[in-house]
Amino acid sequence: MLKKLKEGLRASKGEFTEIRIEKERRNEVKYEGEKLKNIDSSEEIGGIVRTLVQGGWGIATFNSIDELSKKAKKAYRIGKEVASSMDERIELAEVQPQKEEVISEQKKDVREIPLEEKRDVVKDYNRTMLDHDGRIESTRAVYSDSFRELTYLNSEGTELYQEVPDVTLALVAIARGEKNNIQTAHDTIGEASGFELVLDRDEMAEEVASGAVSLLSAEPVDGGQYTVLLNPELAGVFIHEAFGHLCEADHFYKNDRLQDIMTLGRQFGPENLNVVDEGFIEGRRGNLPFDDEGVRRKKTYLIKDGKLNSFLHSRETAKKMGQEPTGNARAISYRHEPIVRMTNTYIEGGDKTFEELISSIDHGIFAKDAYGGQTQLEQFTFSAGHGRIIENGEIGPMVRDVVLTGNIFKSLENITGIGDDLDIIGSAGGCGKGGQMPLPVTDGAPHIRIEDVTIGGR
Amino acid sequence: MKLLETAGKKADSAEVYEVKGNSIPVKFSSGELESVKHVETTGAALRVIDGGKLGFSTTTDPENLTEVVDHALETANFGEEADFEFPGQIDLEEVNTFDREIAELEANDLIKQGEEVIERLHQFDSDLEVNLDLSKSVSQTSLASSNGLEVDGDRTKLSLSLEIKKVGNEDIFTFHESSVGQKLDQFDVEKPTERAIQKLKWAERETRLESGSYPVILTPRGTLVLLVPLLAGFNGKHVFQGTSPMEGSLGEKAFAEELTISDYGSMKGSPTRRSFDDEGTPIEKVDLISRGEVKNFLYDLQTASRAGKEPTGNGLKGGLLGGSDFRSAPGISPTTLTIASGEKKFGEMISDIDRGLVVDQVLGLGQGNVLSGEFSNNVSVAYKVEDGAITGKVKDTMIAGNVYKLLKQNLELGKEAEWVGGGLFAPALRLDDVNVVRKS
Repeated sequence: MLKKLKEGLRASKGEFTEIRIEKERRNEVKYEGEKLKNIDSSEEIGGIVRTLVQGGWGIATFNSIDELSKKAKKAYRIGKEVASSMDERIELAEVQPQKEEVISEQKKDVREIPLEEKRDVVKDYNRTMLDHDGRIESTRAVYSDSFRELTYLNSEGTELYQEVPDVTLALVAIARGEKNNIQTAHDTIGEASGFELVLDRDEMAEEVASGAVSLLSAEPVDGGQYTVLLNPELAGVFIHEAFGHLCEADHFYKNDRLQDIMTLGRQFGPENLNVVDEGFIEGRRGNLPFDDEGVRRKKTYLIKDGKLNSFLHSRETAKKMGQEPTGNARAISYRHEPIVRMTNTYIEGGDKTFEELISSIDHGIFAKDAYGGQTQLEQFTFSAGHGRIIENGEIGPMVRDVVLTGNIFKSLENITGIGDDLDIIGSAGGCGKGGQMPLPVTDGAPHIRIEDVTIGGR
Repeated sequence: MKLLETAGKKADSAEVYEVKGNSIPVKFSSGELESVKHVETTGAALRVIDGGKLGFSTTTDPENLTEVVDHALETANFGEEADFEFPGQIDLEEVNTFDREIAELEANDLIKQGEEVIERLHQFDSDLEVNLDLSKSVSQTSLASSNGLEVDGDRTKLSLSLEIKKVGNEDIFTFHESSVGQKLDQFDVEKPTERAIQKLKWAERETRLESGSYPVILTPRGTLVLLVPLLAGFNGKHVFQGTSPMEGSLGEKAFAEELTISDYGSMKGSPTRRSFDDEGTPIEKVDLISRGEVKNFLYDLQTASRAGKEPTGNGLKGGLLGGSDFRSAPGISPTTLTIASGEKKFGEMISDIDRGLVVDQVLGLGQGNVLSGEFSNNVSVAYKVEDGAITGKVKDTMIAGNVYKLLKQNLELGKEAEWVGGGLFAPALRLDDVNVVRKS
């Protein structure tokens, strides 16, 4: 294999060439309601050659990994065409060539677990949810695993082989009251680990089912402005949407106006706010020591003491801005070139206990768990699984349809409390950007209190 | 097809979906050419029914027959009960989904086209950041079953996706535009460019609309706010499972008289036109709502059989806004949605409103309890209407409501329908009394 890749590299005459080959073995078991909906057991192989020719990118992706030299020549030919239409040459920041083999060790290797055993586990959790209450109308229980082998070589001498395991479990319960009162609750887990992750999750199944039933008697939240307390899961989505994306250098590396807004050292939040993107935390989803440009991933403080401290870079954006690459170039698969992405993004723990955070709220919402979020850079949104009304420091009745929004220039400075209970959460979903979705990322935070958050409502 | 032959011998019956494709995506970032890519895709998806159970596996190496057949059989061993059979041969309306002119486009043609669009936008405002993706693709899809089905389709597609950013002082205005064509003459870069310029003009001034209940006009693209939850309710599987508010509503006048929605993937002029779905069911017009009356839901083979309904040609590998992917098993999804137009021109719809909102794009589409029909979104592209005219963009503003309630009340549909991506043809739609929350 290595020999074939090296031949391919040599066939390109570009100033920089890389080849990434990916082999994947994956399984999925899905239950919907009473029925097993889908079992999939598949493999996939493919690759990408990317070459820089006189400052223009030529890229070829393919499923057949024979004749890599031909593919490299093709990428070179395309790159040359690109170069002829370009005004400014793309250059890459320098990095140390790396040679390493990263072998994954799992307690219960998913490749050795029979499909039937995987089916049985999902079936049980699905049953647990269905049997929980007569008002559970339907369910969804999805197990997935994949084992990817990534081989990466570039013309600077980097040679990497990395194994990436991935296991997820997603449980959804749908409860129905009267006609239009249909409520959904969900929970998901995901890790770069073995089959052990999904064992003994009956409690998770019970909680999802009871969550859906409780929502039947919850009122929709009244729209307005609230002091909110976010639980770690939702606060993680908040920081991912509110600030993480804005730190991705490809949003502004060619935009002077945005660079004026995003000046290093600018105060965005309170003095005790620290936000981190940590490239490699072993066992977290999508985590591996090197990114998809063969750059060692690292820990980057996006915000330190409330001030903008650093951006996330690929080699291209780092060079353009005269900064160090951060190892954040990631691709969801061999079908895509790497772009600047987050990895494990979290707010560091502060000094407040949960009681301290909640007791000072006269009227607010305790928003928990996450459906998802989206940003348009300045404005962003994130939706909670459900909320609880807070009155005079006490947790009150449940409310539903809690969708929160914020504005990057105001929301972070409105953080008035940071809990001491940091939790980094691996879930089954992923982040989408530039047509690449879902990319496994983790978000995290302690409980966070924010003033003046707008919540939509009828 | 060797795969079908091998699988057909080992399993009771088999179905093979095969795709061979190549595409050329060209990417401009911040107005400058960034990369050109050649994408070659080879893949096959195998479904088998064995002992009454369904098995599924995909491969990127259709020559390597043993593994994919073994995997599919293994999954069928304890798989999903198959309450349907793979169809035999079908009669199809002759539909040409291939365009030589698109097939012959080269990277340079795309680069030139991209440069022209960027130049036009920069002529309007040299300060704009324009990220542009232009991609042409050619694919051959074939579907065959051991029961005699044998259909194939050569398809072409040309698509443009624009992300435009206008950055002011602590103000970032970002929005998307797109165009899709199966034939070169359907592919229109003028309209998205004009729409983009119009949006930027309307957004030159920033204004605010205080919290309250207002009439809201959704642009053709804005109708997605309603359609995403609504389609969850018209998914035949949800209806059958009892998780759709539409359960038991067939024949009922559950919506306003003005509302007619169909799914019509073989419609002439659809930029994603096709004559059969990914399970070999012919695609014909399916009326979902006709003059307010609930007419039908969307079904694939399995759900149709379980619910005792006819399949509607909606067994697809891909979603409302997502493309087809051989790796996924077919599920229920619309093909080409159409909302019937009304009588009023967009300008007249605006001039009717004393105080209200025009919403074109929102954040967090579909992120919430879609099954109950609830939506609650931060607007990312929206304008205030005052005394019959658009007076500027609004931000930090949310709209919320329930589609089943809102679409029952007074509605008004615009005269001019537009393509949104390749899968929706809709006019503007006016709703009364939508709750708006604005940061005070």
